[in-house]
Amino acid sequence: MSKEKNVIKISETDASEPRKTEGELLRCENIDKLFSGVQVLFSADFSMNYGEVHALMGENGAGKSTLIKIVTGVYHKDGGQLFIDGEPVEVDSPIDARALGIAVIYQELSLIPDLTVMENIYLGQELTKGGMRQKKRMRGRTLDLIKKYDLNLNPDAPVEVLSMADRQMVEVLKALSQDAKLVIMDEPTSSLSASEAEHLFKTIEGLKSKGVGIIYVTHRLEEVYRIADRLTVMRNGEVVGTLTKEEINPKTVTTMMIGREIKTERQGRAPRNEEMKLEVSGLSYGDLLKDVNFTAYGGEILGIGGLVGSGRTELVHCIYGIKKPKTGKITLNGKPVSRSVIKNINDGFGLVPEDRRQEGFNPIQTIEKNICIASYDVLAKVLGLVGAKKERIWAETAMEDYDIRPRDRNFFVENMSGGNQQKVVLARWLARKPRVLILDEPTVGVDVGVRAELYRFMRESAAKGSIIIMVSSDLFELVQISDRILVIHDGKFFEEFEGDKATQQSILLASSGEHTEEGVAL
Amino acid sequence: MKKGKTSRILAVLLAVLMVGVFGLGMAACEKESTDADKGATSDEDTGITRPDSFAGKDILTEDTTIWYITLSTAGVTNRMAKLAFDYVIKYYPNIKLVMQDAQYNPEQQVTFLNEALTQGVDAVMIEAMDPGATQGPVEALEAAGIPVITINLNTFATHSLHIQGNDYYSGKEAADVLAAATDGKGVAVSVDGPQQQAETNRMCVGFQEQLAEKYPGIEFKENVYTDNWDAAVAQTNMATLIQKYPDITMVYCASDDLANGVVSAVKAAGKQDQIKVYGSMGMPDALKRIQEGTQFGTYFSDNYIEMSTALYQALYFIQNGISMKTMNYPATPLLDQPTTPVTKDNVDLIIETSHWKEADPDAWK
Amino acid sequence: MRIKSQSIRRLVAVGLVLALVVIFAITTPTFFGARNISILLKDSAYLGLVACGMAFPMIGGGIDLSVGGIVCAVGIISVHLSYDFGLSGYAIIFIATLAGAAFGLLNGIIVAKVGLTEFVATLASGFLFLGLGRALVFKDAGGRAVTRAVSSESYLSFGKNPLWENGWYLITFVWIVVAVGLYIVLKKTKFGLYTYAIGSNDKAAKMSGVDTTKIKIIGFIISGACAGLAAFLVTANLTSSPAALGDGYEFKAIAACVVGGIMLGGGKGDTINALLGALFMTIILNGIYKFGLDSTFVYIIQGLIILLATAFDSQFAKFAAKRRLKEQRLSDITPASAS
Repeated sequence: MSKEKNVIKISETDASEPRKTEGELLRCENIDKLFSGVQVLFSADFSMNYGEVHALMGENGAGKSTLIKIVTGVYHKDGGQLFIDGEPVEVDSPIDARALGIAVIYQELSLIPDLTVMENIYLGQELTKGGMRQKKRMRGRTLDLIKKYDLNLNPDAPVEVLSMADRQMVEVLKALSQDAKLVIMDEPTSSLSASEAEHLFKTIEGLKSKGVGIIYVTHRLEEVYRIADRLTVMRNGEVVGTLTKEEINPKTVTTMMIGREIKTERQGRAPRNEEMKLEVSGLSYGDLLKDVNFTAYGGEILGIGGLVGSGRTELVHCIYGIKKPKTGKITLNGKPVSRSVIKNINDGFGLVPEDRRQEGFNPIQTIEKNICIASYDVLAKVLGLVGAKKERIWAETAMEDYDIRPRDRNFFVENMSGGNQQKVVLARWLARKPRVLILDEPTVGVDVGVRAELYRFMRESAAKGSIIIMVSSDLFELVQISDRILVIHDGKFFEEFEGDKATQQSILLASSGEHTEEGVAL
Repeated sequence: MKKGKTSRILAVLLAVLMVGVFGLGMAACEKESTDADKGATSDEDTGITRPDSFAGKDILTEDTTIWYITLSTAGVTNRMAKLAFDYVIKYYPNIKLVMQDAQYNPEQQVTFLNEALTQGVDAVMIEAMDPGATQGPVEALEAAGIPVITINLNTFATHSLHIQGNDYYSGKEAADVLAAATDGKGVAVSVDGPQQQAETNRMCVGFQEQLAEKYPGIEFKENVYTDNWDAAVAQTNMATLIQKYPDITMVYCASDDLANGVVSAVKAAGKQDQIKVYGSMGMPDALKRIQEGTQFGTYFSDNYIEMSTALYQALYFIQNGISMKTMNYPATPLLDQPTTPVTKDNVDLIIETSHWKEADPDAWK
Repeated sequence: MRIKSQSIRRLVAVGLVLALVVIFAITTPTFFGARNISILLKDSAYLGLVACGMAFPMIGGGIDLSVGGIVCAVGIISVHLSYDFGLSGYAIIFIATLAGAAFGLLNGIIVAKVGLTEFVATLASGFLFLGLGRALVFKDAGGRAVTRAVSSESYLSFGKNPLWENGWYLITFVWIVVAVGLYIVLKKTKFGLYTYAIGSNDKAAKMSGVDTTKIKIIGFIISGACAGLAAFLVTANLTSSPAALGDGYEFKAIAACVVGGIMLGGGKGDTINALLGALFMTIILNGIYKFGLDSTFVYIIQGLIILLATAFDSQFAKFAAKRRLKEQRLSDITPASAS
């Protein structure tokens, strides 16, 4: 922090000094990046002007964040050149980036809730005179900034009372107070409600009119229409192309993002078991889910697609009983599903959570304990005493069945690779022969080999008649594995696809609220 | 599975080793203790008679250890005690005197008493904080022939000697002095020490009973307890009392530390002329306050003499092998100290003749 | 050959205890006496019992700062039951344990149902219990506090005298039985395994269908019950209940757990660790007294022990992390033997 202080000076006249507001702001030429010999960026080109909102899109792993991190000095590029105002520059560290006027607004906000807006803005760079804070001067400076960018903020309000959108505004203001001319926003709306997002867009327009350049990273196509002047799409580390506002349309964008679709052989599906069915009707949760209706059947893998933050996780948590829906009915074979996780587990439910490390496994416990934790209702006898042999056999059988490595029940799960950790979490439920198994992003951080095994276990379990519900952001996985896919948009299921008809592009379009030929509108 | 086994075997081995070591030690010591029994005098006489001279130990030539278990080693009284002890043992190069700090914790005192028996010290002096808790260990010490001398705070166990500044009567004396100064009229309160020591600290009881008995013109209002003899707590307590009874004219305090807090509270309320503060023990700063006139009086119980007497008695007991084991007293012998009331009239004389100037030279600069 | 890191930590604790015994046995003439050993084991027993109970909230990722207050309140209640109502010691030992459990239940309800953090909730309830204990102290007609000694044979049989001459006290056996019993509860029952799970990862346990609230409450009940039992045994040894009873027990118990190898933060350790920790803490004090050092050193040495133990744990964690990396690499390379 002390180093930063030396570099970044609050401009004494930032409210009045005429600044450059036209022309080229940033240009990246032929940027290459390798991670331990593997190329992740291939000669990427990108440029933007003052007063422009430039959207950046691409699937996960397309190279967006790598490019952003090179611009902000977090990573070092392995080739190419950056230009600011047409001058070649070297950005070796985040401190350099800030000195050059590049600021990033991260998803996890870095504000201190107990301090006021003004104090947060000047945190670490307080204006002082003889060791005393010059509160009046800082306050006046803050008010000038607020007025200049036409923001609706009270400099004396503690940050904790502000909405998420306002907090982002404070972050932006903090960047501007340090003379930022390029503001990078990484998925800024993911934690905002619709009205808050609208508020943010207005602010972005205001900044734009004052000549600030904005790189806007997003997954949401509708936001791109709403605010972007240009859109650059990346795929597999390459810049596929840049579209002007007029050229942006869903079809083009999704084609650019997905590329040529490779259809591989689908695994055969078991016949649908109509007698085993999970019905959800009229389910709503907070502001996220409005009216969700669907039926899942035994024997099939039901995929649930949609953008991150669209309420998929909340939906499955409601079904599982961890979260309480506002309204709605959930029944399994006509019997209402309990609101208690413990009862649901006894009833044959299981959930592989999205955040494996936080919610999935107990890191400082052994494989055995991690597999058995959900099954002590079966393993414990009188007085809650657990038979050591029974427990061992239960764990060893599961480890054998699901090929967990190392094959050592006393191995600590925190020492395992991601794929094997996920196998442990999955085995915990599969060992119980669940009737309803819900998997939330089951293959994040799992290598390709283990992925195939996970798919096989899911398929086998379905073949035995279980209901498998898989939430995934991986379009390829969704299309390849699911027998049926439901896509959430705007708090409801928007379209339904039969597994063999779905394409990655159609799912992406449906996620963004565009009807497709392949799917059936709901 | 192999790994689990190795560690388990190792753990079991270590556990067996531990138990074995303990067992061996115990076997060895069982023998030791019987040897010791043989050496002890098997005195069948149960009457209170003086045993043969030098049935005990030659403290001039043999190594001798005496423990003094205090409530707390902080404070000027302990410096005074040390002064007194140094004076007594200066002719006995083989005597080691250890002061143990119980930090106002009765359990800690019990630990020290047990420890004294384990180490086989020659005599123990103690301010017994809890009379019940100290009973068992003191009995055990006495039964093993180790004399225990309690100082000011007594224990339930019958033991070799209890020595005290005359607590109960000094309270009565305070009532007399205060009544004489106020013509037997006024409103009184008392500030006592910790509640759990009220039983052995009967100064405030003496004060109250004397007032009730002899001075109907003085109305006694309330007695308050003070945790840890803390002056700051006493100050708060007194401030509350002044608010409750604005017409207080006299306060009796169970120690001069408490009186210190009480004087501050009286000063803060601006009632120096109305309220007479009377303390106990005659500590240096109290004597100074009496000189200045902020405190009305205190009683002086010569700590130096009390401590040196206790230690002299301990030496005598050790030399002559006196303990409950040999003497079998029906009740604990009691040694009361006389007390002297101190007011402005005689304070200078007391300061000159007491040992406070040596024990606490800083206080008189 | 690979030994679990927990076992290594256990061996270190046992080794430390043994090393201390050997050092003190050699350097002091009176340490290794039957009487001293039996008193040492008796003194470790109170602290050890409280520490064994404390192990449950600690393994569950929490803490219980109210045990000192529970010891104070239950201690005075026990003496009242014997002195005023003439109940037999055998009845009182159950009542004391139940009373402690009831206090623990109260803690559990405050923490789990009202949703206060464990630190604050048990700190506050500890003061409440302490106040209750002070309020119940025996008083004479004039309202002055007095000490009442217990005289009931059955009561005193638990702590006043050893079972045989210069031998062990019943307290020590009660402690060992409780420690082993609770070890079995921790390692062999559903509840115990769930306790590790919530200490290791609260959220994951919840997702796996563990009623975390219930497990936490039971943990506090066990902690309270152990403190209640310890309170009874302390008063049986002291034959009375001083108002200062239980002072600082909570921190001594936490220190014993930490030194024994139960980590603050949860998920690791067991009651045997607590037992060893209590033994270690008592032995070192007992040994220090033998050297005739000023008792102010006791604080310094206690502080140093805790510092060293936690420093060891953090260094050990680093070492374990290195080993873990190696293991992970191995686990990914070596194919499973069976397939």
